Amino acid sequence: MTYGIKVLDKDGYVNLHSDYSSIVYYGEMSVVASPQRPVYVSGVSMPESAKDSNYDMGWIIQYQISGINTDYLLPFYKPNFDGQQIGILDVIKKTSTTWLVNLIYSGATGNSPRVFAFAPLTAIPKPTLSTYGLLVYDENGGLVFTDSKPPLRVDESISITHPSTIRAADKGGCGRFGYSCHVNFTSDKSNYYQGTLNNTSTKLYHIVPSAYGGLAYKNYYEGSESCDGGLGSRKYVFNYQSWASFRGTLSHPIYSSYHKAEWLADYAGAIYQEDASGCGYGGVFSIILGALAVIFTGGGALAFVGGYLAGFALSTPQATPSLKAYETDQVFDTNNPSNLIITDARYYGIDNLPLPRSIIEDPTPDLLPYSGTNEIYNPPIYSNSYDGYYYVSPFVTTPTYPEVERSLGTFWLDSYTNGTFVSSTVRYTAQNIYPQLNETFTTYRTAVYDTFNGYIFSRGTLIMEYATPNTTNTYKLYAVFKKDFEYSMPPTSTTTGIPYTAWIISYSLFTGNTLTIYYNYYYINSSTTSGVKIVIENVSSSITSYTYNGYTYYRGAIKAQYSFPYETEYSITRI
Amino acid sequence: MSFGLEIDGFSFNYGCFSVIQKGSLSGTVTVTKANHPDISMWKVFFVPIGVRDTSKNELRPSWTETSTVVTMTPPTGSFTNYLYFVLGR
Repeated sequence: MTYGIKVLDKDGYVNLHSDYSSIVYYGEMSVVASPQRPVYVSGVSMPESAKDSNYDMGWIIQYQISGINTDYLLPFYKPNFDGQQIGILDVIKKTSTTWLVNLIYSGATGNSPRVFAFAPLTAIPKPTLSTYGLLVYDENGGLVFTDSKPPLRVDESISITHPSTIRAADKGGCGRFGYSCHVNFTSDKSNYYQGTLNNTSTKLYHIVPSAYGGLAYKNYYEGSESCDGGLGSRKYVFNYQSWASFRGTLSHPIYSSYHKAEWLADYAGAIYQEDASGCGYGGVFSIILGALAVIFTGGGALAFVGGYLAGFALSTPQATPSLKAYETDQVFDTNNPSNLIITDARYYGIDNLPLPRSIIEDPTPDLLPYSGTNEIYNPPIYSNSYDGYYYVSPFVTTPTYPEVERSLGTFWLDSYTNGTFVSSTVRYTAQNIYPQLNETFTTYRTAVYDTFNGYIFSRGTLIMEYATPNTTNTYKLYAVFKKDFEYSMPPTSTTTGIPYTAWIISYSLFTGNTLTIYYNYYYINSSTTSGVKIVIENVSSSITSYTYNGYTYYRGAIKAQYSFPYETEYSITRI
Repeated sequence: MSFGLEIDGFSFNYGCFSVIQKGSLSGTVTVTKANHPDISMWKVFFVPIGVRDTSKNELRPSWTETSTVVTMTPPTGSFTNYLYFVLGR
């Protein structure tokens, strides 16, 4: 460039250039059509519970933003809860100044995510500007940068590809008299992608997943049966057919750096028909096939659900999500990856969230992988004696098969002012998670002690990460805990196959001399019919340590064998 | 701050992408890197405009990058209009 302004970042990349427009936050999109879960209404009755348990259905919703006269729009979503599946289905320019977004999400009907519109600054006419600061124009007089609208800062960009199948497990079956029967279409396939930064509750995500497809089930049968008291016979026929149409979604487990490409159904249906001839006669059953043909010949399906989607804008172009019935298992467009962009609501003053603290600038350290079968790392009851923030994130020793989708536990957020404790609030309470179990891989399951609800045993991995940008001390502490129990809860045996409980803790630049971690170990004894007993034995006094990437990791272990209460405490001294 | 771009107290020293080129993907589009000598990292995003008709079994566009060009290709059977954003930093 021979003129203009150019600003480089610390890595030498351009982050402001008068030749190029920045992308800026325009505004939040509002819900214009209430969430829907459309199903085929003339077939087998489908209660709401079946939509969850059998059809894996999400909610379709429509957002709108007006007054933005641009031909280019990038919608970002902010999940409503940790682990929520979300997929942007359609981005529609409804009028010259109005855009729509169709989206599918998991959870309850009221759990709709928030959607924010971003657009190139040059594509936004007359943006509101402050009376001071910096304005940068390109050679055509187009405003390409203003400090009034901070530019899109991309924390991370990850290429995402969805699984080539939707479900591996058997679907079950529905046969004769299946008037209220449903098979199981719940997706069990997912792909994980790991970034470098942890997901947080303030992150915004843009991606329009490419993948879509469907699962289908058929059971057509012609037979004969006795009738008239066994004196005669008659022919009968039944046909059961059902499907679930799926869209690619993503979830972003908080405090992990993983992004999970999954599936969520947008449309489902089931139909059962039966006919029988008179006793002693054959029969013609074409009426069954004729009725089904109406459903599976394309656009006919939409007519059956039109009422459900009446709240969606019908405009030019059409703005009602496309729905499709499937006669066979199919997936489409799973080969072309889609790019995920991650940014943070705090960069743009959304909700007046405070600016990110230094921990955001300092990504999660590359924690030392620790692998082992039947070894467990126990989540502690934490001695909440240090100021700062607790973060949790998955700790996966088999990255190609990350069983763990999020961490569990009770964590406190302490606030300090100039080193003086102000308050402590519970930020996360224990929850159950059910990652997939695959015997050929190391699996991680977590037992979580919930200080409010008692003891919850689940599966997963727990990592506690502790970092404190203290105003007077600059120490950081990362503690990692994992726990793995045997395959079922309660275990089938208390004498064999009982895993070790182990822990790992690490610190770096720790200004104190002693870190005290309080442990309570709990184990469900199969001989216990109710309640929970605490089982601990063989507390190891040996401590091994690793030093990796500036962090010293300590490891200890215990083994749970007998059913008596036990509580212990570890004190780890800095070396 | 010792360097870079700061707005209202927050550093934008990392990850700010600019729009190098944008448009509607009606055919293969190529961006020649030599025409943008200041840019050294490239990302391409596609945004389908309109409702994607899932009954048409269409595929999404794709992009490739070499040392000299960024190429965006609409696949055969693409029935939706796609915007493309070539971002760079």
